[in-house]
Amino acid sequence: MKVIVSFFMVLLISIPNLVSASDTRIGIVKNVRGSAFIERSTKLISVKVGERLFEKDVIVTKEESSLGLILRDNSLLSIGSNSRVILSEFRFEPAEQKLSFLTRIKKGTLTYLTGLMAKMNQNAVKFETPSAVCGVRGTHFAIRVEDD
Amino acid sequence: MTAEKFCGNFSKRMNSFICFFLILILFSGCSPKTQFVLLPDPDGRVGKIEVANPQGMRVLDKPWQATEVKSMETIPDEPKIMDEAQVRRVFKDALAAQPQPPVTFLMYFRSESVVPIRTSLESLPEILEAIQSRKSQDISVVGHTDSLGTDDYNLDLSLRRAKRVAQILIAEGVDPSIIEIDYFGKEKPLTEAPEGVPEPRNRRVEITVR
Repeated sequence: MKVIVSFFMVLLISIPNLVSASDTRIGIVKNVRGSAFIERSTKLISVKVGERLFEKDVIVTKEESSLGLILRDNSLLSIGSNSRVILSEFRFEPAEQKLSFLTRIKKGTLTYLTGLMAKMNQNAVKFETPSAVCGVRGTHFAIRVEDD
Repeated sequence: MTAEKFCGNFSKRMNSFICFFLILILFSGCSPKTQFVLLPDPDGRVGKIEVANPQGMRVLDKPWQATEVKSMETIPDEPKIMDEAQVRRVFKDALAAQPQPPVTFLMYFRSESVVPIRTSLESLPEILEAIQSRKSQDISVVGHTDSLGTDDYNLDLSLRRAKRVAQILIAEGVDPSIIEIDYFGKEKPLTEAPEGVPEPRNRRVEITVR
């Protein structure tokens, strides 16, 4: 009996997590130049304009390539050539006070213009690089991570 | 390059296994250098970012101010003002890829009505122009009401308002698959008003073109 109960407990806990991690669209690709890809779980997707973005997407651009994205909170993220950027976490549920956006940049360049989320909560938006974390009070900035 | 040379010279005496591990150790020690630059907003205002690691924190709050961080083991460099032309050169690709900011339009309604008022309908060409110029593939249509009436009634009314506005856009040739409808009843007033008091500014549909 205990085993059955705990089995259902695990199910109850894990199902909503699965749904929230992958089913909510967090943004859209507005423009693409050259060749850019999204690594999504085990798939490699060649990015086209209008492509929808999800939490945990890994964005990869090649030589002479770039991408412009609009996120659900109306913030703008653009990524330059030879970059690798992970959209690690994105929660935009103002009614539930759930606001967070964590981006990891492994290499390359990006610029970001904040949207509603940073306005609602000054601690919600963070960018992580291999050597530091950037807390975003507002509003427009650029990051470059050298390739080694 | 140096690691290869180093490896080549020593491989006469050492076996390649040791060499491989030596390279691993060399590389794991140094993380790539990062540069952070604060840019002015498109409207000229300047925000603020904080760059931190376990060694310390730097605040950037002036236009074109930048800090470099060599690794997690070193404090971020003293912020310096960078030459604008240099910033534009380094971030050329990314800056050129920045999309046009989204734009939001409001349509207003008479009490209990789902038909936008005449002056709101007059903004339709402007909305269609924004959709076209952005080649938008992502439009939100979000319905709201004022606080008159029950929660259920208002939720339903806000949904009907949003649906009506979506229909108007579709009739003008907008692709239905790019429209996302949402509704909040009286939960998200734009203007604070006492419960049960009519407030025309809250009877609205917000159209965001991305």
